[in-house]
Amino acid sequence: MGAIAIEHRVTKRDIPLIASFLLPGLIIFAFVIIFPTFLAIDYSFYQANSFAGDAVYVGMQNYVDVFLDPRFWRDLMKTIVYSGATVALQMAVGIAIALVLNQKFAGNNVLRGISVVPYIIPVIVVTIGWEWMLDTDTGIINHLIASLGLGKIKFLSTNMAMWTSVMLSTWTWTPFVTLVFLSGLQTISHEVYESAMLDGARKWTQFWRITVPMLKDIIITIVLLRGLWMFNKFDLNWLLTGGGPLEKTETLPILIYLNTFKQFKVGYGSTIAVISFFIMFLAMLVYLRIFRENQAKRKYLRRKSRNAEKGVALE
Amino acid sequence: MNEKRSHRIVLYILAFLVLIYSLFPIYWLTISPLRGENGFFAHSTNLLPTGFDLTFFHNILGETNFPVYYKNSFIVGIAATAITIVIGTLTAYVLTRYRFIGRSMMLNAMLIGYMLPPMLLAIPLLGLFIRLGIDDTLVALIISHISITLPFGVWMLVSFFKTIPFELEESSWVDGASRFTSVARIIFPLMLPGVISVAVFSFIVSFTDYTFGLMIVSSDANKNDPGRTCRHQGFYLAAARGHAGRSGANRHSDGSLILVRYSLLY
Repeated sequence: MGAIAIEHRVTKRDIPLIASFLLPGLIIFAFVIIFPTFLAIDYSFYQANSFAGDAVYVGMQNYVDVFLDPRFWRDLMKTIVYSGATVALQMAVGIAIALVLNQKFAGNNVLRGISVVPYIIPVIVVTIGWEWMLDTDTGIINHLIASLGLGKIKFLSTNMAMWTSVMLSTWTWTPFVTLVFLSGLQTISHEVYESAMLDGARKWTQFWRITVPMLKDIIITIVLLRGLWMFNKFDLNWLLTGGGPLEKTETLPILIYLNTFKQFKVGYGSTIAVISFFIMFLAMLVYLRIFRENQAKRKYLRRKSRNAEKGVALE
Repeated sequence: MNEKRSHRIVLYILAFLVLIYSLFPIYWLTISPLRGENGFFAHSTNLLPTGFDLTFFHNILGETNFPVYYKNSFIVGIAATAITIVIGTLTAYVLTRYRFIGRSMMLNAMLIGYMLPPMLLAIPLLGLFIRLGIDDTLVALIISHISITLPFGVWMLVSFFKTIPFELEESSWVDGASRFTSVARIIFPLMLPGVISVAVFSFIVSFTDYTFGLMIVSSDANKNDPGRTCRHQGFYLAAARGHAGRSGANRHSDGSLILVRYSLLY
């Protein structure tokens, strides 16, 4: 009830207030988001060799070129692998940490604060710091590996660079998953677990049978947000490898950047940006469709069981 | 009882692993540059701190443009945050309080705006800035940061404001307060926690941003004059030219400052 009660139908008296409150936001939103979006779509129909020079209208030619470019498809695959792997790892590590932090122990609050640290340090710090730690000759990680009697790992070699980037991305953005999942965990009451414990359910079973189903909505949202962000991720890969070695870590954002800001093929770069946004948008719609269907089904079942209960009560 | 004890031990081991996982790189970035020029490579495999030499930090502050980049970062971060907060609060207030046609559409637009690839926005924004003659300035950077912080800020604020008991406002109208004073005196204090969270979020996003800084400010290297250059290029140059330790040092001080800010606010 509360959520509905605070909303007002608009009366004449409210109009000046609404207009003056809403207008600045709308103007800025239009200027920094809506207009640029349409401008990017507009750019994609032109061939231009710089930001300032003349552009030639080429219709759909840029789109044809992008779709015929094997580099685009290869980078799209890399982007999907990169975002898929990082999201999966972030979920696994983030949820594991959240489960630890949800227990009671001394220093818990401090550890919660500390666990956010990787998320709030600038990406440039992350890459420089880890590069130093992962260095083949002087890095502490390789030193520790060597002291275990194993061979050195060249973390930024052609074979490893993508996985190094996945590892660093996981490290940096895991706290987001941890924080959101932890806040979800705190909404589950202890009684549920206690009764499960009385029934002899093991921790592992409790997690899959109670925690995951109860936090399903949160999990779905985190996966969606993280997936979209990782798909668009530019800074970490760019700073760590610049797309190399041998274009092994070249994801779509890097391809866009190289085309637009290094070769100044502004139209072509915009075209890839527009296409990648539409791919992402479609993926999001499909994902939400699956999720919404599930939700509708659950609602239906809940209503059905409630009605059944009512039926019992009436009898 | 024994089982409980072993549970405890496992829990503390896990907690310790979380601590190492989150903090070791930061620890390493702190002690490495403190080893000074002699110890930096020589002791690079020693897990414990081996020196307290401030040379690198001293160099960074004295011999580079680092203080300027730092100042710029703060100007941009504070301006972007301030605008996000003021505009975002006004917008979110109306979107929470009033039901009108297009409201949910606006909320969805905010969310989609946040999902737009930074690349998709950066390209046309740079085109716009060039046309307006403000490319390569801090103002341009502030505007482009707002394109990320505002939509998500509004969205977060709306979800915060939904939990505020706005009935209080109506009772103050009855007492004769104007709409504006009732918002300022009664509702704003209740909004404060949400507003602060959004402010922290915006500031972190702006302060740690690299993508927009790279594209908006230093995409055209010829146009950079040091006074206006933003920090991102500075970071990058320092990283390319400088000693790994030196860059490690400045990066770290950057990180720890944010940390201090964050811990102060929470």
